[in-house]
Amino acid sequence: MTNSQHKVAAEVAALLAQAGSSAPPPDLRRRLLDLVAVIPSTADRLVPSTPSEVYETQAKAFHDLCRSLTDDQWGLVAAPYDWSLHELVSHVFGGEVYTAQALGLPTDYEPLDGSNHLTTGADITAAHQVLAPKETLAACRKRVQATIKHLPELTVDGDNTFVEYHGWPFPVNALLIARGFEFWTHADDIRRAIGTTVENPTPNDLRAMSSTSVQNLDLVIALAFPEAPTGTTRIVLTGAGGGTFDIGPGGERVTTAILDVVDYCRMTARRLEVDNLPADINGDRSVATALWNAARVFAM
Amino acid sequence: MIRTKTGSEQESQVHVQRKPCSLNLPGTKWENVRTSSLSTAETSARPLVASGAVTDDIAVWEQTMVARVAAGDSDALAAIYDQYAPLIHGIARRLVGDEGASDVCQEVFIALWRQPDRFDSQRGSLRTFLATIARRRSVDALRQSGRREAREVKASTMVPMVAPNCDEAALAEVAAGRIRQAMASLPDEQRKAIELAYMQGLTFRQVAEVTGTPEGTAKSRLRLGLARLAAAMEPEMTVEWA
Repeated sequence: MTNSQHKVAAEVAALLAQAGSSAPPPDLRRRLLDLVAVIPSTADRLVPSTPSEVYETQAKAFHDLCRSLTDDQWGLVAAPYDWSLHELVSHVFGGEVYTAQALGLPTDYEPLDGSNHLTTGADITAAHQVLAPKETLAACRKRVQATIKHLPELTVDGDNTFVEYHGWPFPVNALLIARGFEFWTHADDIRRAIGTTVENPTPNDLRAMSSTSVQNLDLVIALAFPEAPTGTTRIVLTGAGGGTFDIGPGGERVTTAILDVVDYCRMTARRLEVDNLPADINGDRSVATALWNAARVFAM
Repeated sequence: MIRTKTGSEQESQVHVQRKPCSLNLPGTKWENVRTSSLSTAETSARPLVASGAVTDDIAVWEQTMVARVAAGDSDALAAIYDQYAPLIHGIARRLVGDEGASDVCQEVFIALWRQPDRFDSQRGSLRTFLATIARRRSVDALRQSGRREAREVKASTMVPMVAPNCDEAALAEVAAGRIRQAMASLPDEQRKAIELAYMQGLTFRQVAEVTGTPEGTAKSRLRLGLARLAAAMEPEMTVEWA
């Protein structure tokens, strides 16, 4: 600490000891909150990654991780589906083929059945088990790179261009972010299997993932859980890449849920159970539970 | 549907009874904490209210609230305001008086909203952090007020300089242009010293710290710079008086 900083610290200590409390004007609180309503918060100032960036970055991270695996490690079993790492990469490859087909891109495969996420591309997975894992990885990377080539035209109006994906209408941009999310989730599955620490995406990627997920909750509840309890809810996702989201029909707020953004993402990916979710929920807990169930609909 | 959050959502308030804090926090009435409220009376400060374990841990509460502020949760800012505004207002009032205390108080919480990541719980409490901002903003307010008063005094003494038929705005513009020219003609170190001292309101010592020079050198640069500035401005003054 410099002399100047010592001096300031001493002055502040003296002020704290001597100043005493003084009630601010009654309307100051209201004025302050009106002001901050129009001042972007730290979370709001963070520029989220574009859907293409999320997809490309997470796909590359997944590929790089897989390339580093030793021959012995390919046979390790990954939770939660008890797949070998080779099977897991085959599953991701099948998902990429299905994604390309959903996006209208040409592939070397007959149209895949997307009715069940876990079994989509099962034939591809089975066929690849007789190949070397690195061949499967190379095929997956080739497929991803072919998709990446088409991203500029696919994302021109990607928020308003819908494709059918596992039976759901999905905006192209949200689909790319969901795939990025899947790459991250499965990369962490592999890290757990080989005994290394899990990794978080960049705050910019996290912001894109978390906001896309939260902002679709109303729609998912309406489509998949029409009987679920609803109400205006504030979801506060803390940590870099989080944010504050007011969702629901409007009006009186019934629930506030506060949780870490990475925990939220892991919960939506079913890598963290709702019962174990370290969330601070104020208000109607049943509404929060309905939201978490909705968030997990797209778990990969 | 996503709604934009509004400040009005924090308008209503409720008083929540809490256990006295075991920590010694002078100037803070922990027994009766006003917090922002939801219609359900669920509050931003609920972790403090509901959990005895957390009640004793102000540091955890502060970190949690600041993390929520960083996430853009204005409820958390409201809770921090409710906790510390009387203290901050008291400090501001002591330093700048009644008139400017509210502005300083507001600026302190806006500063927290804009840059919550500047708070480092490892370096001290949120209370101290906010008090430090309050001190700085108060000093800024006093300097601005001082400069304003100085300008007013200077303007009043310069009235005779204004030619009777001269357009005041045009004259001011010409003068400003001359000052800019004169400043530009100064050596870099003298111009920098003058900018810091007279435009940013720093003391000699602060100028020395910022420029990484001994205080004597900073003073010398200021003196030489001002002398050159006066010399450069002299012809203009002569014209004005002609």
